[in-house]
Amino acid sequence: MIRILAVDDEKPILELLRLSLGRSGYQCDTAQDGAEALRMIEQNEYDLLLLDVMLPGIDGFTLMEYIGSSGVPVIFITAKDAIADRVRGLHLGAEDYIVKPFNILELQARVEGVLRRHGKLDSVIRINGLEINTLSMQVLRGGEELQLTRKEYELLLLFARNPGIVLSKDVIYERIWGGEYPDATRTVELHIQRMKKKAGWEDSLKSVYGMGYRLSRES
Amino acid sequence: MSFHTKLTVTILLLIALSFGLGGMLLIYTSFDAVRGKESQAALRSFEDTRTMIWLMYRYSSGEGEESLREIMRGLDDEGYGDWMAVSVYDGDEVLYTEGPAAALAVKAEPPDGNICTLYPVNDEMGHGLVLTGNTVVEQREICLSARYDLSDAYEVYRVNSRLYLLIYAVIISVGIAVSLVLSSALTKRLRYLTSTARRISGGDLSIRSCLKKGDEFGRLSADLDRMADNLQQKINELEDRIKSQEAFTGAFAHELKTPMTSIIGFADILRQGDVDESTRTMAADYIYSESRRLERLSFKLLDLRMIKKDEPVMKKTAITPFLKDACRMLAPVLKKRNVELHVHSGGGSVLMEPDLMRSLIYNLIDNASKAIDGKGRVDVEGHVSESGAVFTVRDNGRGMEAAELSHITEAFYRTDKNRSRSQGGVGLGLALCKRIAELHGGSISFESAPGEGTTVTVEIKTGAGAGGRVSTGETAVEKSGGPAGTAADAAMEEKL
Repeated sequence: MIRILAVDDEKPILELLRLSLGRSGYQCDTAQDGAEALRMIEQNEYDLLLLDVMLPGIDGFTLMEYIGSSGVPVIFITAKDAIADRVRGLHLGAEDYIVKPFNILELQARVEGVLRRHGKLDSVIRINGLEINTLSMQVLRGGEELQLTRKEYELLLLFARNPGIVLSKDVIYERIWGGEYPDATRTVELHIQRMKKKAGWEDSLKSVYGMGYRLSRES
Repeated sequence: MSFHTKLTVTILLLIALSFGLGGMLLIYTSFDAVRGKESQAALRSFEDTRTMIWLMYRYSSGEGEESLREIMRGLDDEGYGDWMAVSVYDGDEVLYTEGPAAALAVKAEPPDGNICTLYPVNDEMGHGLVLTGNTVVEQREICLSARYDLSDAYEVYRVNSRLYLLIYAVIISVGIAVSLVLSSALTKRLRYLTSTARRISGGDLSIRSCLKKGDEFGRLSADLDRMADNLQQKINELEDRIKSQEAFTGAFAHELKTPMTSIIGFADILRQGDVDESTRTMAADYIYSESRRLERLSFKLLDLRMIKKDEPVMKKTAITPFLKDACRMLAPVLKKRNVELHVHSGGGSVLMEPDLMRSLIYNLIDNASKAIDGKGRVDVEGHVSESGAVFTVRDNGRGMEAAELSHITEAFYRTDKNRSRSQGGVGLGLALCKRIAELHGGSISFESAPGEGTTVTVEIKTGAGAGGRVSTGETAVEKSGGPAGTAADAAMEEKL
């Protein structure tokens, strides 16, 4: 199982990270200051660090310099979105940064991206009778490959990675097409209809009234 | 024209003028002396000759040209310089003549009487002196005229002048070099000061000229350095202000975004559904508490903004009821925290903005009580001073390290973040207090040591006018306190 250490001096934020990363299937430990984080890094092996910049005692940048050599990838979490701070973090070898306030989906996506880059994630996702190979970008149903357009594939992957979670239309649009969700469009609905049919997810991918869509895991 | 050039030219002019005039004067004076001496010698020799002629005509029997020639030879024998031409007349009749007649062309009319005249001449035969004199003897007027040659003296003068011109040229060339070096040496400090000033104006504010004092340059240097000091201080103040503003903005963003992140995140989780009961409760709890935190932050921020905007309206306020009032508001909270609150008032009244000052005292007492673990006590004291009033709030709580004291009035600074948050602090209270104290022309100071509690002293300076009314306030307290005595005795203590 992937182990992640989140370091932030705010308990609510830590709880939020633990909860949302837990839902993505990772084990998330938490530390409230730099010293505690160092202790935990020495005791355990982590696949990823989520680091707040403004920490009491040892700050995030200093901590980063200390653990930089260990090879554990780091994502910065910061309330400052000043370019200089971001650049400094990236220069120190951070893999990515997330600016507060952040979206849970964005957090999950960035965590996944970094883990994937470091080869810590399985490249094959099995869900509801489908086998998705994220490297070859192939989707198999019973050994037979599905013919999907790029958008359909991305849509399928988004749901496959977030089972049991309601994805609203604007979140889906933002993630797949990018930019603001235009009010008068049925793009999302149409693509989901087509993808559902091809994937054979008519029963498991349901629309949640007034909220969006949710993929339930079939037992 | 640069000062350097001006100085060079001035020095050069001075050298040229003094050496030119001085040299010319010297040469001319020596020439004049030589000419004078020669003229004197010529005159003496001429006069001797005239006397001889007179003697000859008076006593000598052997008249005629032969005797005259004898005498004239004597003129030459005297050995005084060169006689170029000589003539002796008797009326229009020439008795004797020697040398070119042209030499005596300028001969003036012989003067009347037994005197001698001198005419300086300058013709193609050179410079000379024509002497003419009458000798009256035996009813005859014998006129003697002779030309003395001064060419040699003039020649010496000419040669000397030319030689001096050469020397003068050398002096001028040396003078140019000297004046260049001299003005360069004189303006060296000036150039140094200029370059220093330029570097300062270019932005390098740490540069100082530091010339030795004593002359004008030293004083200018000192003034320049003082100016740079002031400039640097002003710039530093500005930079500090900008830095603290940036720090405030950064800290504020952090304070704002952290609860927002939690609220948005937990709300998102609830929205996605598929959550168990305990997660739902936790998410709702966090959303509630973090929203409350945002609320408190916005209120405090509003307070801070309001203070920054308005000029406070000062009111004469009696200290005793004011303190009682401020403490009454907090009494229930403190009771719950198991903290005793003691109020000591020196009585009297002072000019202040009562709402703001109440907020200040309230904040200080709140802070003091939060610094206490378990049971403890907070002492609040207020009395008038010469320039206003002094309030102190003392607790016997945890206290702070000296290093922390300098930061505690910074916005969003907290000595213990987690504890502060759980107690509902947003980190703006002391920044607010400091601002209120400053609005009253005063200051806020802290005294603390770990484990020994903290004493906060607020001094407000709203003028001695309030001090005048203070005495009446004190008598009022005395009256109410009965005949027992002094203001100190009258100081009331109220236990809440």
